[in-house]
Amino acid sequence: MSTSLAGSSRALWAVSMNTAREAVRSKVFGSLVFFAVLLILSSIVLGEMSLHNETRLATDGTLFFSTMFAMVIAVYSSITLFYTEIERRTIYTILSKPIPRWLFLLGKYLGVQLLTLIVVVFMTGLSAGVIFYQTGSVPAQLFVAFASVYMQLAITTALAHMLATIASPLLAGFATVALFIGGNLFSQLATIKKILEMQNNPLSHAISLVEYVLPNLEALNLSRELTYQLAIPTSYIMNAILYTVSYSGIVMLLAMAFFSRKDIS
Amino acid sequence: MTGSPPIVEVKDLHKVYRVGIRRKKFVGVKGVSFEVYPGEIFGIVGPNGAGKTSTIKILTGLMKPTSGYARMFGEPVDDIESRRRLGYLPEGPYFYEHLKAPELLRYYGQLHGLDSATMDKRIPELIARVGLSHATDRPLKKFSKGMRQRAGLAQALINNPELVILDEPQSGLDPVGRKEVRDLIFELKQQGKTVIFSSHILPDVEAVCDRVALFHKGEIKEIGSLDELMSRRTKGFEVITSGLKEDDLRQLTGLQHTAQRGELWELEFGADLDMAQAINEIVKSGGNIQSIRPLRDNLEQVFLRDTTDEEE
Repeated sequence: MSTSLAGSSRALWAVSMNTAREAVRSKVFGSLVFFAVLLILSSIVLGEMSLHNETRLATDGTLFFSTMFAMVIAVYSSITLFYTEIERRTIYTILSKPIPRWLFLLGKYLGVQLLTLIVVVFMTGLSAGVIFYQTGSVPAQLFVAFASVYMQLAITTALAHMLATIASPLLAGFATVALFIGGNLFSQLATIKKILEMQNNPLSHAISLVEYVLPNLEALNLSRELTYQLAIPTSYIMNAILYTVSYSGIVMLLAMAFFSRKDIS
Repeated sequence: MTGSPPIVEVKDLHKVYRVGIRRKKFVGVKGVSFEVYPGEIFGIVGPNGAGKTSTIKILTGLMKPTSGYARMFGEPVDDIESRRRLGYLPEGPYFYEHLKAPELLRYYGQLHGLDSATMDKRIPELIARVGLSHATDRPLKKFSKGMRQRAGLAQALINNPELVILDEPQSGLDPVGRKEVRDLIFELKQQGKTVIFSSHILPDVEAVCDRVALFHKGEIKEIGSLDELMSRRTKGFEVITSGLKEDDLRQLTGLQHTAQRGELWELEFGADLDMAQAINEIVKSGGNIQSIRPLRDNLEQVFLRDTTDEEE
């Protein structure tokens, strides 16, 4: 049993590390990071152009650009790395080894998570530099806000993996980005639902269903707390972690179930 | 060979694909059954779309059969334990381009759960065995097709498997490379390993395989040892004789074809003729028999006949 566990751990480590390495070697990854750096640095210029709004532009701009680029990197890496394995048939030699399919998928997910973590840490450092340059200090909320970005990406990456197992790369990519945007518009969705309920419109039930299924990524968006330097309670952080782990776990279980039935042809 | 239980057991295997927008049914594998015994080299031959690769993919756990079953080492093929003793080289293998051959083998070794000490010993041995020792510091993107194929063979052997499945291992190789693959297959047999070998190159199948299954349109048309497959189609026999004159040949019954090679005559008789009678007549006519051999189709002729549609 212990030998089998050690063997599975080695296999999981190998798939994860190989996934992260493959992602870093992608030319698209390099280009995305380059543009992300440019746009984060442009927050300084935007701040200088504004009238006494340097701090707000620095915090909002860096967090927004970092989130967008990290999301694109996570979705792109999740979907292309999965499809490349099938298209280039490297998956034939992997799945014919004594590893369960769920382990392969989990390895891919953890590999992308590792990459996302590196990207978010890098962008946190860069943003902290930009904010320090503009304001002379770095608020503690910045680090929690970026940790929340990472949690949003953990959920988004899980969704991308699940959709990649059942849809074409393009469709999976668009659907994941749509879910990410939808998940960040949760309060708008609630407003629409209220209006529909007042009109007795049955569509309000559909929105209730969407609210159950859609990840509430807006709850993990701490841009307001960062901008106004509001206190972030520990209970919020604990709940956010629990929500991220539960939601990602359920989505990954679904992805594993779909993938276990998939014919590799 | 057949005294031992089979290593691979395939029974009434069917695979139905759904293709196109209308999800039209396409039967890729139709009631395929065969067994592979320890230590044998089993050939799978057939034209494109015959169901060879689908059958191999089911065996390696990449696809699930629609019905029927396949077992390896007595375990169902979807049980990952059955793959612990399996080595597999897919057709036209492609690997991570940034890796070097030792890194690639280490990666596959880790997927097998091998420990570092085992890999440290096995990787250089395998690299030497497939002739890639000169290219260990080169990433795979700089490998030729033949070198990639060798790297693929090495990864298939990283776990020292008892059963090796090679899907078109000689595709894209030059004659020297093809011979090396043949030699490697013989080497595997000498080590007591079982090999399932799919190929379009029929002379190579004929050279290495103990038994062959001929696939066509998803079905096995014929299965058996090469001798069995070819002797099923004995067309007659050829006698090489000396001491006969052209006039003497007219006395011989059932003679279908003659050719003179210097002092010797090559005489071909039909399968319906009694060989003893023909020999008797030759000797009576003053001929000295040099050799007698049955005239049989080679594997290529068997293949072409089996895979040519009746309506054609």
